[in-house]
Amino acid sequence: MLTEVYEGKTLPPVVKNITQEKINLYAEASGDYNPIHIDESFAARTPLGGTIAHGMLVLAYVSEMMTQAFGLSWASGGKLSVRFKMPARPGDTLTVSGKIDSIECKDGISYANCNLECCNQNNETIVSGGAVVKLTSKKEIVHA
Amino acid sequence: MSDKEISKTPISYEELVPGYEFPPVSYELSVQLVSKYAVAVESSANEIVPPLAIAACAMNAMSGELSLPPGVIHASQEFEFFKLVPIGSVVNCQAKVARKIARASVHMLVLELGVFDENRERVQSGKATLVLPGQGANAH
Repeated sequence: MLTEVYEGKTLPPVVKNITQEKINLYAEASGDYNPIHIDESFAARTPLGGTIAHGMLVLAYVSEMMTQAFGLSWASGGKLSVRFKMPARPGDTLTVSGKIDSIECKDGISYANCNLECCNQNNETIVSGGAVVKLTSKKEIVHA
Repeated sequence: MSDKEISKTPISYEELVPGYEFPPVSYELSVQLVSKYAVAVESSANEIVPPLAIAACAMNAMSGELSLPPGVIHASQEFEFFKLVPIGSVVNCQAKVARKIARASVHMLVLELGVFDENRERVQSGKATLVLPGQGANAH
């Protein structure tokens, strides 16, 4: 968890390797058996040309980064808004990164506005967007 | 991903209209379910259910009520988390069609989700934009 929160602070990144086995595991855990994720012959015949990871699997990695940075504040007062720019595929190495863009105070409560991105090993953006986290401890906020 | 309260013939994309509300579905976020999820996403869950696990369960619960063609993909997603949910909780998922968008051969569906705990307090809300496969993908 971050010990200090300030504008410009980089969030510790999360790095994950995507494999078909992990995608299959996620399909079983989530119940999402869409063949675009798990059926290689079906996926090969679509415009995507092969299986892709569930968007929600990639978002789980985004959420992991936010949890590591902000602890339970994320699960109890977080907001996420993302776009899926391109698919994550088996063999990809994903790096989720983020930065605190700004900290604002509304009605006595501080919020960290974060920029988020998930890129593959070719630095292509898989997911981009933003998150807002309600900061529960004022001690952690460092003002410039 | 069981414990669905309602099971009936799923509604198809063609039948959906903006404002359509899916039958609410309740499910238990059991230790087994959350553990399986945590393994799949290479994470850990102690006493609190990861918020994305709740979301994944909600989307799966709702998918039983909806029949979409194979090959649907996610275009965008929004979430807002309101409170912590202990493992073992029973939550209720409500979903409705916010928009249907058709541009040339591209069809999109915007779904709004709300998840509530046993005290009927909102746990999380979300909005998913899904892209349905075009003629190329549908042909397979």
